[in-house]
Amino acid sequence: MMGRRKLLAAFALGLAFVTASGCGKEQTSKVINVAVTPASPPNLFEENGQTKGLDYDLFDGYCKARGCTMNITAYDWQGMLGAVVSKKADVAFSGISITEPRKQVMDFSKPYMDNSWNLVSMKSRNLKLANLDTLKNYSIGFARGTAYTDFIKTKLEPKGIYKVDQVKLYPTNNEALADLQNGQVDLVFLDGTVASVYRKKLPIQDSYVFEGIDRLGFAFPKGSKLRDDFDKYLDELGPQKRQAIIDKWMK
Amino acid sequence: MTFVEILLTLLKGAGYTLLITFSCAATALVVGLGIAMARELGGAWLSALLSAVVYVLRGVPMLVLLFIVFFGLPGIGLDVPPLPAMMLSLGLISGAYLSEVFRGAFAEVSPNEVLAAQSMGFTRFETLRVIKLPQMIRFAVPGIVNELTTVLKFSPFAYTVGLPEITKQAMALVATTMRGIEIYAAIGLLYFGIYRLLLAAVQLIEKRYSIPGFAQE
Repeated sequence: MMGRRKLLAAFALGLAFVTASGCGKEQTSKVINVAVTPASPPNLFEENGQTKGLDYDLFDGYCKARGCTMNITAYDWQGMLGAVVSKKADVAFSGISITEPRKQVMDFSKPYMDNSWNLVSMKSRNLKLANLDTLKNYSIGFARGTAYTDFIKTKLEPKGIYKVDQVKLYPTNNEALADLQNGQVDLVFLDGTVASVYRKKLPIQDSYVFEGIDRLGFAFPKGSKLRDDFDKYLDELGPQKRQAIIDKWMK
Repeated sequence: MTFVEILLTLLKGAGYTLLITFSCAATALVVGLGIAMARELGGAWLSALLSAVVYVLRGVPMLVLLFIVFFGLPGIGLDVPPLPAMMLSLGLISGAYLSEVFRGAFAEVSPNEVLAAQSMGFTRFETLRVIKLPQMIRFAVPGIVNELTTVLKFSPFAYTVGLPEITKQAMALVATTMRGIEIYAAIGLLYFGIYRLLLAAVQLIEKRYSIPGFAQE
Protein backbone atom coordinates (compact mmCIF):
# COMPACT_ATOMS: atom_id res chain seq x y z
CA MET A 1 0.00 0.00 0.00
CA MET A 2 2.80 2.42 0.97
CA GLY A 3 4.62 1.56 -2.23
CA ARG A 4 1.67 2.41 -4.36
CA ARG A 5 1.09 5.70 -2.58
CA LYS A 6 4.74 6.68 -3.00
CA LEU A 7 4.54 5.83 -6.67
CA LEU A 8 1.46 7.96 -7.02
CA ALA A 9 3.16 10.88 -5.29
CA ALA A 10 6.19 10.56 -7.53
CA PHE A 11 3.94 10.46 -10.55
CA ALA A 12 2.07 13.57 -9.45
CA LEU A 13 5.34 15.36 -8.76
CA GLY A 14 6.63 14.34 -12.19
CA LEU A 15 3.48 15.55 -13.84
CA ALA A 16 3.68 18.88 -12.03
CA PHE A 17 7.32 19.24 -13.07
CA VAL A 18 6.59 18.47 -16.70
CA THR A 19 3.71 20.94 -16.91
CA ALA A 20 5.65 23.62 -15.04
CA SER A 21 8.72 23.30 -17.22
CA GLY A 22 6.49 23.20 -20.29
CA CYS A 23 4.98 26.54 -19.37
CA GLY A 24 8.33 28.08 -18.51
CA LYS A 25 9.81 27.09 -21.82
CA GLU A 26 7.03 28.74 -23.77
CA GLN A 27 7.63 32.05 -22.09
CA THR A 28 11.40 32.26 -22.27
CA SER A 29 12.23 31.13 -25.83
CA LYS A 30 8.97 32.52 -27.30
CA VAL A 31 7.82 29.93 -29.78
CA ILE A 32 5.11 31.48 -31.92
CA ASN A 33 2.55 29.13 -33.43
CA VAL A 34 2.02 30.22 -37.00
CA ALA A 35 -0.82 29.10 -39.27
CA VAL A 36 -0.34 29.39 -43.04
CA THR A 37 -1.82 28.17 -46.32
CA PRO A 38 1.08 27.34 -48.63
CA ALA A 39 -1.01 27.81 -51.79
CA SER A 40 -0.82 31.61 -51.90
CA PRO A 41 2.24 32.66 -53.89
CA PRO A 42 3.91 35.14 -53.72
CA ASN A 43 2.69 35.85 -50.16
CA LEU A 44 3.19 32.32 -48.97
CA PHE A 45 4.17 29.08 -50.67
CA GLU A 46 6.44 26.06 -50.35
CA GLU A 47 9.47 25.30 -52.49
CA ASN A 48 11.38 22.07 -51.91
CA GLY A 49 9.63 21.70 -48.57
CA GLN A 50 10.74 25.20 -47.52
CA THR A 51 8.14 27.78 -46.48
CA LYS A 52 8.78 31.04 -48.36
CA GLY A 53 7.18 34.26 -49.48
CA LEU A 54 6.53 37.92 -48.85
CA ASP A 55 4.54 37.40 -45.65
CA TYR A 56 7.09 34.92 -44.36
CA ASP A 57 9.93 37.43 -44.90
CA LEU A 58 8.03 40.13 -42.99
CA PHE A 59 7.30 37.92 -40.02
CA ASP A 60 10.77 36.39 -40.13
CA GLY A 61 12.10 39.96 -39.80
CA TYR A 62 9.89 40.46 -36.74
CA CYS A 63 11.10 37.22 -35.17
CA LYS A 64 14.74 38.08 -35.82
CA ALA A 65 14.22 41.48 -34.17
CA ARG A 66 12.39 40.06 -31.13
CA GLY A 67 14.26 36.78 -30.74
CA CYS A 68 11.39 34.38 -31.26
CA THR A 69 11.05 31.26 -33.34
CA MET A 70 8.20 30.21 -35.61
CA ASN A 71 6.41 26.91 -35.31
CA ILE A 72 4.68 26.77 -38.70
CA THR A 73 1.66 24.58 -39.37
CA ALA A 74 0.15 24.39 -42.85
CA TYR A 75 -3.65 24.33 -42.99
CA ASP A 76 -6.09 24.77 -45.84
CA TRP A 77 -7.62 28.25 -46.02
CA GLN A 78 -10.61 27.63 -43.74
CA GLY A 79 -8.47 25.67 -41.29
CA MET A 80 -5.95 28.52 -41.11
CA LEU A 81 -8.62 31.08 -40.21
CA GLY A 82 -10.20 28.60 -37.78
CA ALA A 83 -6.85 28.09 -36.08
CA VAL A 84 -6.55 31.81 -35.30
CA VAL A 85 -10.13 32.17 -34.12
CA SER A 86 -9.82 29.16 -31.79
CA LYS A 87 -6.39 30.42 -30.58
CA LYS A 88 -4.66 27.25 -31.81
CA ALA A 89 -2.34 29.62 -33.66
CA ASP A 90 -0.86 32.91 -32.39
CA VAL A 91 -0.79 34.43 -35.87
CA ALA A 92 -1.87 33.58 -39.42
CA PHE A 93 -0.56 35.01 -42.66
CA SER A 94 -0.92 34.03 -46.33
CA GLY A 95 -2.12 37.21 -47.97
CA ILE A 96 -5.21 37.54 -45.78
CA SER A 97 -7.58 40.40 -46.64
CA ILE A 98 -8.82 42.59 -43.81
CA THR A 99 -12.64 42.39 -43.88
CA GLU A 100 -15.39 43.46 -41.48
CA PRO A 101 -16.76 39.93 -40.81
CA ARG A 102 -13.24 38.67 -40.09
CA LYS A 103 -12.54 41.64 -37.79
CA GLN A 104 -15.41 40.53 -35.59
CA VAL A 105 -13.67 37.25 -34.74
CA MET A 106 -9.97 38.14 -35.04
CA ASP A 107 -7.62 41.10 -34.67
CA PHE A 108 -5.64 42.34 -37.66
CA SER A 109 -2.28 44.08 -37.80
CA LYS A 110 -2.01 47.37 -39.66
CA PRO A 111 -2.40 46.80 -43.41
CA TYR A 112 1.04 45.89 -44.75
CA MET A 113 0.17 46.09 -48.43
CA ASP A 114 -2.59 47.11 -50.83
CA ASN A 115 -4.02 44.50 -53.09
CA SER A 116 -6.12 44.72 -56.19
CA TRP A 117 -8.84 42.22 -57.06
CA ASN A 118 -8.60 40.93 -60.60
CA LEU A 119 -11.23 39.13 -62.62
CA VAL A 120 -9.09 37.06 -64.97
CA SER A 121 -10.06 35.13 -68.09
CA MET A 122 -8.31 33.07 -70.72
CA LYS A 123 -6.37 35.22 -73.22
CA SER A 124 -7.96 33.26 -76.07
CA ARG A 125 -11.44 34.55 -75.08
CA ASN A 126 -10.22 38.17 -75.45
CA LEU A 127 -12.68 39.24 -72.78
CA LYS A 128 -12.29 42.84 -71.56
CA LEU A 129 -14.92 44.54 -69.45
CA ALA A 130 -15.00 48.34 -69.74
CA ASN A 131 -17.59 48.52 -66.95
CA LEU A 132 -19.65 46.16 -64.79
CA ASP A 133 -22.93 46.37 -66.78
CA THR A 134 -22.40 43.08 -68.59
CA LEU A 135 -20.81 41.22 -65.68
CA LYS A 136 -23.98 39.26 -64.89
CA ASN A 137 -23.72 37.47 -68.26
CA TYR A 138 -20.57 35.67 -67.14
CA SER A 139 -19.93 32.99 -64.54
CA ILE A 140 -17.44 33.88 -61.83
CA GLY A 141 -15.47 31.35 -59.81
CA PHE A 142 -13.13 31.64 -56.84
CA ALA A 143 -11.78 29.85 -53.79
CA ARG A 144 -14.21 29.14 -50.97
CA GLY A 145 -13.83 31.14 -47.75
CA THR A 146 -12.23 34.13 -49.47
CA ALA A 147 -13.31 37.77 -49.12
CA TYR A 148 -14.98 37.92 -52.56
CA THR A 149 -18.26 36.40 -51.33
CA ASP A 150 -18.70 39.24 -48.84
CA PHE A 151 -17.71 41.80 -51.47
CA ILE A 152 -20.29 40.51 -53.97
CA LYS A 153 -22.98 40.30 -51.30
CA THR A 154 -22.49 43.77 -49.83
CA LYS A 155 -21.20 45.78 -52.81
CA LEU A 156 -22.39 44.19 -56.06
CA GLU A 157 -25.69 42.50 -55.16
CA PRO A 158 -27.51 45.63 -53.83
CA LYS A 159 -26.65 47.44 -57.10
CA GLY A 160 -27.96 44.52 -59.15
CA ILE A 161 -24.53 43.92 -60.69
CA TYR A 162 -24.02 40.33 -59.63
CA LYS A 163 -25.65 37.76 -57.34
CA VAL A 164 -23.84 35.51 -54.87
CA ASP A 165 -25.99 32.60 -56.14
CA GLN A 166 -24.33 32.88 -59.55
CA VAL A 167 -20.89 32.23 -58.09
CA LYS A 168 -19.01 28.94 -58.48
CA LEU A 169 -16.93 28.04 -55.43
CA TYR A 170 -13.76 25.93 -55.44
CA PRO A 171 -11.49 24.53 -52.69
CA THR A 172 -8.52 26.70 -53.79
CA ASN A 173 -7.45 28.99 -56.65
CA ASN A 174 -5.91 26.00 -58.38
CA GLU A 175 -9.21 24.23 -59.00
CA ALA A 176 -10.87 27.49 -60.08
CA LEU A 177 -8.09 28.07 -62.61
CA ALA A 178 -8.27 24.46 -63.82
CA ASP A 179 -11.98 24.97 -64.51
CA LEU A 180 -11.17 28.27 -66.25
CA GLN A 181 -8.76 26.46 -68.57
CA ASN A 182 -11.41 23.79 -69.21
CA GLY A 183 -13.91 26.48 -70.16
CA GLN A 184 -16.32 25.63 -67.32
CA VAL A 185 -16.17 29.12 -65.85
CA ASP A 186 -15.73 32.49 -67.61
CA LEU A 187 -13.97 34.58 -64.98
CA VAL A 188 -11.94 33.79 -61.88
CA PHE A 189 -11.41 36.22 -59.01
CA LEU A 190 -7.73 36.40 -58.02
CA ASP A 191 -5.80 38.72 -55.75
CA GLY A 192 -3.51 41.03 -57.73
CA THR A 193 -0.55 39.38 -56.01
CA VAL A 194 -1.65 35.89 -56.97
CA ALA A 195 -2.59 36.96 -60.48
CA SER A 196 0.93 38.35 -61.00
CA VAL A 197 2.34 34.88 -60.31
CA TYR A 198 -0.17 32.97 -62.41
CA ARG A 199 0.12 35.33 -65.40
CA LYS A 200 3.70 34.10 -65.83
CA LYS A 201 2.59 30.47 -66.00
CA LEU A 202 -0.85 30.52 -67.60
CA PRO A 203 -2.27 32.25 -70.73
CA ILE A 204 -4.60 34.45 -68.65
CA GLN A 205 -5.31 38.18 -68.68
CA ASP A 206 -7.16 40.69 -66.49
CA SER A 207 -10.70 41.32 -67.70
CA TYR A 208 -11.52 43.77 -64.93
CA VAL A 209 -9.54 45.09 -61.96
CA PHE A 210 -11.02 46.40 -58.70
CA GLU A 211 -8.58 48.82 -57.05
CA GLY A 212 -8.35 50.31 -53.60
CA ILE A 213 -10.81 48.03 -51.83
CA ASP A 214 -8.54 45.39 -50.42
CA ARG A 215 -5.76 45.58 -47.86
CA LEU A 216 -3.80 42.66 -46.48
CA GLY A 217 -3.04 42.13 -42.82
CA PHE A 218 -1.59 39.61 -40.42
CA ALA A 219 -4.37 37.90 -38.46
CA PHE A 220 -4.19 37.41 -34.68
CA PRO A 221 -6.61 35.99 -32.10
CA LYS A 222 -8.87 38.53 -30.35
CA GLY A 223 -7.04 40.58 -27.73
CA SER A 224 -3.60 39.46 -28.89
CA LYS A 225 -0.61 41.24 -27.32
CA LEU A 226 1.54 39.90 -30.11
CA ARG A 227 -0.53 41.99 -32.53
CA ASP A 228 0.38 45.22 -30.73
CA ASP A 229 4.06 44.34 -30.75
CA PHE A 230 3.96 43.35 -34.42
CA ASP A 231 2.30 46.68 -35.31
CA LYS A 232 5.14 48.39 -33.43
CA TYR A 233 7.62 46.40 -35.49
CA LEU A 234 5.93 47.44 -38.76
CA ASP A 235 6.37 51.09 -37.65
CA GLU A 236 10.01 50.46 -36.79
CA LEU A 237 10.56 48.85 -40.18
CA GLY A 238 9.21 51.90 -41.98
CA PRO A 239 7.50 52.15 -45.38
CA GLN A 240 10.68 52.06 -47.48
CA LYS A 241 12.04 48.83 -46.09
CA ARG A 242 8.59 47.25 -46.17
CA GLN A 243 8.15 48.25 -49.82
CA ALA A 244 11.56 46.77 -50.61
CA ILE A 245 10.39 43.39 -49.30
CA ILE A 246 7.15 43.66 -51.28
CA ASP A 247 9.00 44.62 -54.46
CA LYS A 248 11.39 41.71 -54.04
CA TRP A 249 8.48 39.25 -54.37
CA MET A 250 6.15 41.15 -56.70
CA LYS A 251 8.65 41.89 -59.47
CA MET B 1 10.27 18.45 -62.63
CA THR B 2 9.64 14.94 -63.91
CA PHE B 3 6.64 12.77 -63.04
CA VAL B 4 8.87 10.64 -60.81
CA GLU B 5 10.04 13.73 -58.91
CA ILE B 6 6.41 14.76 -58.43
CA LEU B 7 5.62 11.31 -57.03
CA LEU B 8 8.61 11.49 -54.66
CA THR B 9 7.55 14.93 -53.37
CA LEU B 10 4.01 13.72 -52.77
CA LEU B 11 5.28 10.60 -51.02
CA LYS B 12 6.42 12.85 -48.15
CA GLY B 13 2.75 13.09 -47.23
CA ALA B 14 2.05 9.38 -47.64
CA GLY B 15 3.25 8.57 -44.12
CA TYR B 16 0.65 10.94 -42.66
CA THR B 17 -2.09 9.59 -44.94
CA LEU B 18 -1.30 6.06 -43.74
CA LEU B 19 -1.12 7.16 -40.11
CA ILE B 20 -4.48 8.98 -40.34
CA THR B 21 -6.12 6.09 -42.20
CA PHE B 22 -4.91 3.43 -39.77
CA SER B 23 -5.64 5.35 -36.57
CA CYS B 24 -9.12 6.34 -37.77
CA ALA B 25 -9.79 2.82 -39.06
CA ALA B 26 -8.71 1.35 -35.70
CA THR B 27 -10.99 3.80 -33.86
CA ALA B 28 -13.83 2.90 -36.23
CA LEU B 29 -13.35 -0.84 -35.71
CA VAL B 30 -13.29 -0.51 -31.92
CA VAL B 31 -16.28 1.85 -31.84
CA GLY B 32 -18.23 -0.18 -34.42
CA LEU B 33 -17.60 -3.48 -32.63
CA GLY B 34 -18.39 -1.90 -29.26
CA ILE B 35 -21.72 -0.52 -30.44
CA ALA B 36 -22.72 -3.72 -32.28
CA MET B 37 -21.82 -5.96 -29.32
CA ALA B 38 -23.53 -3.70 -26.79
CA ARG B 39 -26.64 -3.84 -28.94
CA GLU B 40 -26.50 -7.63 -28.93
CA LEU B 41 -25.99 -7.87 -25.18
CA GLY B 42 -27.75 -4.81 -23.80
CA GLY B 43 -31.43 -4.31 -23.13
CA ALA B 44 -33.96 -2.23 -24.99
CA TRP B 45 -32.88 1.06 -23.38
CA LEU B 46 -29.20 0.73 -24.26
CA SER B 47 -30.12 -0.40 -27.75
CA ALA B 48 -32.38 2.62 -28.30
CA LEU B 49 -29.70 4.96 -26.99
CA LEU B 50 -27.03 3.48 -29.26
CA SER B 51 -29.42 3.63 -32.24
CA ALA B 52 -29.84 7.34 -31.57
CA VAL B 53 -26.06 7.84 -31.41
CA VAL B 54 -25.55 5.98 -34.68
CA TYR B 55 -28.42 7.94 -36.26
CA VAL B 56 -26.80 11.26 -35.37
CA LEU B 57 -23.24 10.22 -36.31
CA ARG B 58 -24.35 8.93 -39.71
CA GLY B 59 -26.16 12.18 -40.39
CA VAL B 60 -23.44 14.66 -39.39
CA PRO B 61 -21.16 15.78 -42.24
CA MET B 62 -17.56 14.83 -41.58
CA LEU B 63 -16.22 18.39 -41.91
CA VAL B 64 -18.83 19.77 -39.51
CA LEU B 65 -17.93 17.28 -36.78
CA LEU B 66 -14.21 17.90 -37.38
CA PHE B 67 -14.70 21.66 -36.99
CA ILE B 68 -16.71 21.15 -33.80
CA VAL B 69 -14.06 18.89 -32.29
CA PHE B 70 -10.95 20.78 -33.41
CA PHE B 71 -12.02 24.43 -33.42
CA GLY B 72 -15.08 24.29 -31.19
CA LEU B 73 -14.00 22.27 -28.17
CA PRO B 74 -11.08 24.63 -27.29
CA GLY B 75 -13.85 27.16 -26.57
CA ILE B 76 -14.91 25.10 -23.56
CA GLY B 77 -11.31 24.43 -22.54
CA LEU B 78 -10.79 21.09 -24.28
CA ASP B 79 -7.81 21.33 -26.59
CA VAL B 80 -7.76 18.38 -28.98
CA PRO B 81 -4.60 17.80 -31.08
CA PRO B 82 -5.08 17.20 -34.84
CA LEU B 83 -4.79 13.40 -34.98
CA PRO B 84 -7.15 12.69 -32.04
CA ALA B 85 -9.53 15.24 -33.59
CA MET B 86 -9.56 13.15 -36.77
CA MET B 87 -10.14 9.99 -34.71
CA LEU B 88 -13.01 11.67 -32.85
CA SER B 89 -14.67 12.80 -36.07
CA LEU B 90 -13.80 10.47 -38.96
CA GLY B 91 -13.21 7.54 -36.58
CA LEU B 92 -16.55 7.97 -34.79
CA ILE B 93 -18.60 8.50 -37.97
CA SER B 94 -16.96 5.53 -39.62
CA GLY B 95 -17.51 3.51 -36.46
CA ALA B 96 -21.23 4.28 -36.65
CA TYR B 97 -21.34 3.01 -40.24
CA LEU B 98 -19.35 -0.10 -39.28
CA SER B 99 -21.73 -0.84 -36.40
CA GLU B 100 -24.51 -1.11 -39.00
CA VAL B 101 -22.33 -3.41 -41.12
CA PHE B 102 -21.80 -5.57 -38.03
CA ARG B 103 -25.52 -5.51 -37.18
CA GLY B 104 -26.29 -6.90 -40.62
CA ALA B 105 -23.57 -9.52 -40.29
CA PHE B 106 -24.87 -10.57 -36.84
CA ALA B 107 -28.27 -11.16 -38.46
CA GLU B 108 -26.67 -13.57 -40.89
CA VAL B 109 -25.54 -15.94 -38.12
CA SER B 110 -27.86 -18.97 -38.15
CA PRO B 111 -30.48 -18.72 -35.37
CA ASN B 112 -30.40 -22.52 -35.06
CA GLU B 113 -26.80 -22.38 -33.87
CA VAL B 114 -27.70 -19.74 -31.29
CA LEU B 115 -30.62 -21.91 -30.14
CA ALA B 116 -28.30 -24.93 -29.89
CA ALA B 117 -25.81 -22.92 -27.82
CA GLN B 118 -28.57 -21.76 -25.46
CA SER B 119 -29.83 -25.34 -24.98
CA MET B 120 -26.26 -26.35 -24.10
CA GLY B 121 -26.38 -23.81 -21.27
CA PHE B 122 -24.19 -21.07 -22.83
CA THR B 123 -24.65 -17.64 -21.26
CA ARG B 124 -25.52 -14.71 -23.55
CA PHE B 125 -21.94 -13.49 -23.43
CA GLU B 126 -20.54 -16.93 -24.21
CA THR B 127 -22.93 -17.31 -27.15
CA LEU B 128 -21.76 -13.95 -28.47
CA ARG B 129 -18.04 -14.66 -27.99
CA VAL B 130 -17.91 -18.26 -29.21
CA ILE B 131 -20.78 -18.61 -31.69
CA LYS B 132 -21.84 -15.24 -33.07
CA LEU B 133 -18.67 -13.08 -33.14
CA PRO B 134 -16.34 -15.45 -35.06
CA GLN B 135 -18.95 -15.94 -37.79
CA MET B 136 -20.11 -12.32 -37.84
CA ILE B 137 -16.60 -10.97 -38.46
CA ARG B 138 -16.17 -13.27 -41.45
CA PHE B 139 -19.54 -12.23 -42.89
CA ALA B 140 -18.63 -8.56 -42.38
CA VAL B 141 -15.33 -8.52 -44.32
CA PRO B 142 -16.68 -6.99 -47.58
CA GLY B 143 -18.47 -4.27 -45.61
CA ILE B 144 -15.35 -3.59 -43.53
CA VAL B 145 -13.19 -3.18 -46.65
CA ASN B 146 -15.76 -0.79 -48.09
CA GLU B 147 -15.72 1.34 -44.96
CA LEU B 148 -11.92 1.34 -44.68
CA THR B 149 -11.56 2.67 -48.24
CA THR B 150 -14.01 5.41 -47.31
CA VAL B 151 -11.79 6.30 -44.36
CA LEU B 152 -8.80 6.50 -46.72
CA LYS B 153 -10.67 8.80 -49.08
CA PHE B 154 -11.80 11.06 -46.24
CA SER B 155 -8.24 11.39 -44.90
CA PRO B 156 -7.57 14.65 -46.86
CA PHE B 157 -9.82 16.40 -44.33
CA ALA B 158 -6.81 16.15 -42.01
CA TYR B 159 -5.25 19.02 -43.98
CA THR B 160 -7.97 21.30 -42.61
CA VAL B 161 -6.60 20.69 -39.12
CA GLY B 162 -2.98 21.01 -40.19
CA LEU B 163 -1.74 17.48 -40.86
CA PRO B 164 0.55 17.56 -43.94
CA GLU B 165 -0.83 14.50 -45.76
CA ILE B 166 -0.67 13.71 -49.49
CA THR B 167 -3.36 16.11 -50.66
CA LYS B 168 -1.69 19.02 -48.82
CA GLN B 169 1.61 18.27 -50.57
CA ALA B 170 -0.24 18.17 -53.90
CA MET B 171 -2.00 21.50 -53.33
CA ALA B 172 1.22 23.22 -52.26
CA LEU B 173 2.98 21.80 -55.32
CA VAL B 174 0.23 22.83 -57.75
CA ALA B 175 0.32 26.37 -56.34
CA THR B 176 3.95 26.87 -57.37
CA THR B 177 4.18 24.70 -60.51
CA MET B 178 0.63 25.01 -61.95
CA ARG B 179 0.92 21.47 -63.30
CA GLY B 180 -2.43 20.35 -61.92
CA ILE B 181 -3.19 17.44 -64.23
CA GLU B 182 0.09 15.61 -63.64
CA ILE B 183 0.10 16.22 -59.91
CA TYR B 184 -3.51 15.18 -59.34
CA ALA B 185 -2.93 12.11 -61.53
CA ALA B 186 0.06 11.31 -59.33
CA ILE B 187 -1.92 11.49 -56.08
CA GLY B 188 -4.62 9.40 -57.73
CA LEU B 189 -1.98 6.73 -58.29
CA LEU B 190 -0.73 7.04 -54.70
CA TYR B 191 -4.23 6.66 -53.22
CA PHE B 192 -4.80 3.66 -55.48
CA GLY B 193 -1.51 2.16 -54.24
CA ILE B 194 -2.52 2.62 -50.61
CA TYR B 195 -5.94 1.11 -51.37
CA ARG B 196 -4.24 -1.94 -52.90
CA LEU B 197 -2.05 -2.23 -49.80
CA LEU B 198 -5.11 -2.13 -47.55
CA LEU B 199 -6.93 -4.68 -49.68
CA ALA B 200 -3.92 -7.01 -49.68
CA ALA B 201 -3.67 -6.79 -45.88
CA VAL B 202 -7.37 -7.63 -45.43
CA GLN B 203 -7.17 -10.51 -47.91
CA LEU B 204 -4.17 -11.89 -46.06
CA ILE B 205 -6.06 -11.83 -42.76
CA GLU B 206 -9.15 -13.28 -44.41
CA LYS B 207 -7.12 -16.15 -45.86
CA ARG B 208 -5.36 -16.81 -42.56
CA TYR B 209 -8.67 -17.19 -40.71
CA SER B 210 -10.70 -18.78 -43.46
CA ILE B 211 -12.65 -21.92 -42.62
CA PRO B 212 -13.06 -24.43 -45.46
CA GLY B 213 -16.71 -24.73 -46.46
CA PHE B 214 -17.86 -21.79 -44.30
CA ALA B 215 -20.44 -19.43 -45.79
CA GLN B 216 -20.86 -21.51 -48.90
CA GLU B 217 -23.95 -23.46 -47.92
